[in-house]
Amino acid sequence: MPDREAIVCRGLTKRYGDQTAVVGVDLTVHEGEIFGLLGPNGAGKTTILKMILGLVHPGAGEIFVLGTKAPCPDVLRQAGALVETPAFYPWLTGRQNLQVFLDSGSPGPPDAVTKALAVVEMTDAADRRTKTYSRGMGQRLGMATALLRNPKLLVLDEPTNGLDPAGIRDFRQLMLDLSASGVTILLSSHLLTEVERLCHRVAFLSRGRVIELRSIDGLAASNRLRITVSPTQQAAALTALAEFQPQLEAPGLLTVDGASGEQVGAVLARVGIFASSIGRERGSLEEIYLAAMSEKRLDDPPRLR
Amino acid sequence: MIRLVYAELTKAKRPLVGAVALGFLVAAATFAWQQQAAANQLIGFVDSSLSTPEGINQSAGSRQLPTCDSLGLAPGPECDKVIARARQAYQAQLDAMNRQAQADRVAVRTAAVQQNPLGAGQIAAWLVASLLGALAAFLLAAGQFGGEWTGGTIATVLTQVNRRWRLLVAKLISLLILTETLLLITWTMLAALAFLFRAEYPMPPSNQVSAADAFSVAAPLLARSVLVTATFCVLGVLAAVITRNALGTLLLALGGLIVWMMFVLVPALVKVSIGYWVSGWMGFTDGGFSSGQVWSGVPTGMSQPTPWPGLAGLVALLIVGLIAATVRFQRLDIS
Repeated sequence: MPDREAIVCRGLTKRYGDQTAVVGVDLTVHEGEIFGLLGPNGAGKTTILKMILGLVHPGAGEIFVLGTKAPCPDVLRQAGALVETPAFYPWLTGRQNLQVFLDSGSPGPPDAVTKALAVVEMTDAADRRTKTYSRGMGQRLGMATALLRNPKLLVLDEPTNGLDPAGIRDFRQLMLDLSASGVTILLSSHLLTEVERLCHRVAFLSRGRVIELRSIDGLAASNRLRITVSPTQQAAALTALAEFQPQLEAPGLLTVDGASGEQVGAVLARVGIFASSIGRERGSLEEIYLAAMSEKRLDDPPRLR
Repeated sequence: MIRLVYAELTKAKRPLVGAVALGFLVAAATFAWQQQAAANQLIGFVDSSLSTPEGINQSAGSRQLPTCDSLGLAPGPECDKVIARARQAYQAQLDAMNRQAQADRVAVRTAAVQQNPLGAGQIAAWLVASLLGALAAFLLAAGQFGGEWTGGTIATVLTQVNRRWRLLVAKLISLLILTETLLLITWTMLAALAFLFRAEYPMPPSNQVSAADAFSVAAPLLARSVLVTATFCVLGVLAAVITRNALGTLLLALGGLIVWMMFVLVPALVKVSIGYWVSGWMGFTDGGFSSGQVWSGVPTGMSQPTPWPGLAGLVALLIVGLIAATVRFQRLDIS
């Protein structure tokens, strides 16, 4: 992955009256990367995305998009966006809506509308008025809007909202294809499994702050060891591994945190127990996310792993 | 910018715009018809010698001014005062009769102009520069701009538009195109109705107006109405960026305009009333559109509005309104 920066946020802050939406957010998204913003409702995800897109003015801090300090409308020409639930002009068809959005900004390729409709598989419904669309179809059309100008950067807020399982699968494949072609993608989502399958890195947000930055590839680093022994030996194994505070998950299945496979193997061997398997369990993003949210480390600086 | 304006006009292909146009056309036809019917009843009087200043003097002169004898007063200062008051009242009555006669003559001439297709634009211009025209412009602004927030499309649009001011200017231009199109459609409809009016309310040859004369009456009004319409569009756009919803746009713009019109009730504020400016610029003075117009007249005793203060007021309003709307829109958070 190229290591140039597509988006850099420094000390980004936004307040609405007495309400603080975003506080001192530092964030870097590399070119070609798929970066996920995760957090509960009201965590500030949408506000951050809107500040990057120039829809909301930051109260403090600075943003650089594709190497240029924001707000820079010319740079935003190279960005496609899907913000919240996409809305359309219900009295126009899907194709007319896309044409209106294309005509509203800098010119795109001549066949931009047709191509975008094809990419999101909406060609058949393109000439229907959007008031007849389902939510999922609206989401697909919103995605088409974001893709109109072959963007270098995609900013997507809850892009899978309203999509059925097949739609989510198609969306995932589309994101992976775009990323492979060099498009940088910043997205927010509640679907942790999708984020885990798509993103290279994620940021956890809570109450307007980034409380943790993680590389998806590094998720295993903090995960536990699963040790399988004969059920008849599990009591002895629990005693031998007492210093690691083992947990009995099922008959013959133990887990320990904070130990290496070699350490555990050696301890068990000393008492004559030979585990049938010792392996590092890959933790799910959901577990890590929920743990991060429950720890309430709101005053800690973000940690990059 | 042309593509952006085209996009805005594409959005105007909606039922709301059709309903506004239909309502305006019905109102214009009704108004024009009433003007014809009223003028038809006045022709006899206007064409008679009774409507001339001499005729009015003659008919009023038949009334005798009181004398000290008829008043039962002894000649002297007290009697002179009473007679002076009576003379004043008589003169006021004479003036009012002359003004009414003048208004009647203008009403008949207006109807005559209206019976010529080229002059039919006169009422179209009047109406787009009236409160009815303001209502139409505000409804369009509410739908086309305030509706972007109500419908939730503003965020999508602004992620496509490179600069916000460009969108605002495109909105303004498209609104102006829509309202001027409405003017032309109204003119066309009234031009078609002119033949019907001519058949229904025939004018004596002495009252008929040539096509050239009719056009020379309507053309300046049509040209002047563009400034008024542009001002209404700016007010609509300003209301949209302040309220950020369709209904709020309509209520704020219309409510604000009505309150502003009511300035004519306060003598010190008359000359900064929008009604005063529009009336002056469009020539809505006594004997003209004032009899049927929706703008409040100036209080008795005040000088009638004239074109140049009206032009200055409207241009200043247009510029200030446009700047205020742009600044407000630039600073808005789309949350």
